[in-house]
Amino acid sequence: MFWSVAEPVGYFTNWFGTPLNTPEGTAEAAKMAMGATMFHWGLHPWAIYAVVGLSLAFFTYNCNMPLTIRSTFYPLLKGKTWGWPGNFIDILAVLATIFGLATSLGFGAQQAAGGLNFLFDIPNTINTQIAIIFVVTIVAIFSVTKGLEGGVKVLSNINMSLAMILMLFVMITGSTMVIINGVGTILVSYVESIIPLSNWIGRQDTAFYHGWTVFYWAWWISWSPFVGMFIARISRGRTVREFMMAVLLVPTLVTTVWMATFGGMGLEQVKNGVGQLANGITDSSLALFQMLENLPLSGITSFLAIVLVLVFFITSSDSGSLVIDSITAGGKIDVPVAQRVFWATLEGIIAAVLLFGGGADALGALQAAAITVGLPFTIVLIIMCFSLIIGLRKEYKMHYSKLKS
Amino acid sequence: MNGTKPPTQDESMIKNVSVYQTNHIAGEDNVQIWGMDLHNPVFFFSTFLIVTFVTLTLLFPDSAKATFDASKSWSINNFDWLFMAGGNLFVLFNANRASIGQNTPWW
Repeated sequence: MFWSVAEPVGYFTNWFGTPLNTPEGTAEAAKMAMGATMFHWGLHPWAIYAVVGLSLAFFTYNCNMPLTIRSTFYPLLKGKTWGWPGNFIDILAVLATIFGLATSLGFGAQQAAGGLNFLFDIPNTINTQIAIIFVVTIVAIFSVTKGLEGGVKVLSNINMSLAMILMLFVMITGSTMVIINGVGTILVSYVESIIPLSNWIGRQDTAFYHGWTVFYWAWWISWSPFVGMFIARISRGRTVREFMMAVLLVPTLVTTVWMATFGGMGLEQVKNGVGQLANGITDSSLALFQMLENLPLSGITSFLAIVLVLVFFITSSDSGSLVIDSITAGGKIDVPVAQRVFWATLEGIIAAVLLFGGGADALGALQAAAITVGLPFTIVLIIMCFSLIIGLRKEYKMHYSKLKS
Repeated sequence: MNGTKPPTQDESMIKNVSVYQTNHIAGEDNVQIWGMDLHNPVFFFSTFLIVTFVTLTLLFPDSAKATFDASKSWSINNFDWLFMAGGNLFVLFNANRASIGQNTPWW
């Protein structure tokens, strides 16, 4: 969410490499900045999540296996799925998820503290950040005890409504026509640049390619057990095609409109030399607030943005605990609530302890650990694709022969 | 697969028959302690690794950061192609799934 302003502006101003070495500050750079941001948040991340989501949905709901990552390997591992190879896959998934969640909670607390400082002059100290982690964790624990229907659903609805209000506000008070045209520009730029940006052979733009794209891919992959299992749970009973629409196309289109609004306004301010953003990115977590500052009612919208970030981290912590709990309970769903509370608490403790003990450096170590776990998990995901194909083929054959006879 | 029942045209009944049969029941490897129901060894191994990671990072912040940054750079520098090729494979895989639906062969 913060990145929707910071990322296009960063690419446009060559904050840390530009996509395909496009010269910064040009009209071409502006177009490329939007296309590249869309590339990072578009079909690829959702495809990564969909692989896990679809595999889990098939093996747990159609084949009645436990709701845990290892079940997706049954066609290949057979009985060994429930032994050590399966244990290894599940442990990897738990580590990727908890490291990813705790990292983003820690960085999120720093961002929210930055925002509070920007708005209300609340000192951005370690105490403020830990207080934010504490509040987020307490609300997440409360929500987690209510289960998927009671807690997570209510919070996600609040989250979606707030995000919609904020986006409509920026659309109306910002340069409305620029934003509307931006949707088209982004889609064109995305289509034009998706092939060169997803190519991995002979890349010259190492700073951008390694620093952004590959980093994002590793990061999305380490989130995939969490997001994938979550979408498997909420899409039970859908067909594959409905699932793909809901998981690939709808989020990508919503992201396009979001990017056109926030990224588009950010770029517009940079081009016209308005406000702080025109000086380039100094602190990526402030970019969103710097953009909102130059629109009406910035006090209210910035506050709304902070609330949105907090609710977002509460929902992640909450649904993440449900997912980790399912994996560490061997795929059982109806387990004592205390276990979910344990994981939500542990996540908050990891983030707080590392921030307190080592600051951003310790969080960086945690993030690097999550990225490192992403590498073996990439291989897990590739094998998962094959496993799912075997499973679907087998199911098809069985249905076909039964229908014929 | 239920071999004793005669084949039926009723698709909704067929849907309920699973292609894979395993006698494994969710939670059968679990142990119950402190009122919790936890998988052995996934829960204990994961928790142990997490606590070890946090403790070591707090005890040796500099070398922990250096070690994990090095492993991150190593992964990204040597396996950039794998992440990228994997990402592209997943997009194509999903596009393929979406275009043919579930009950048609994969080709």
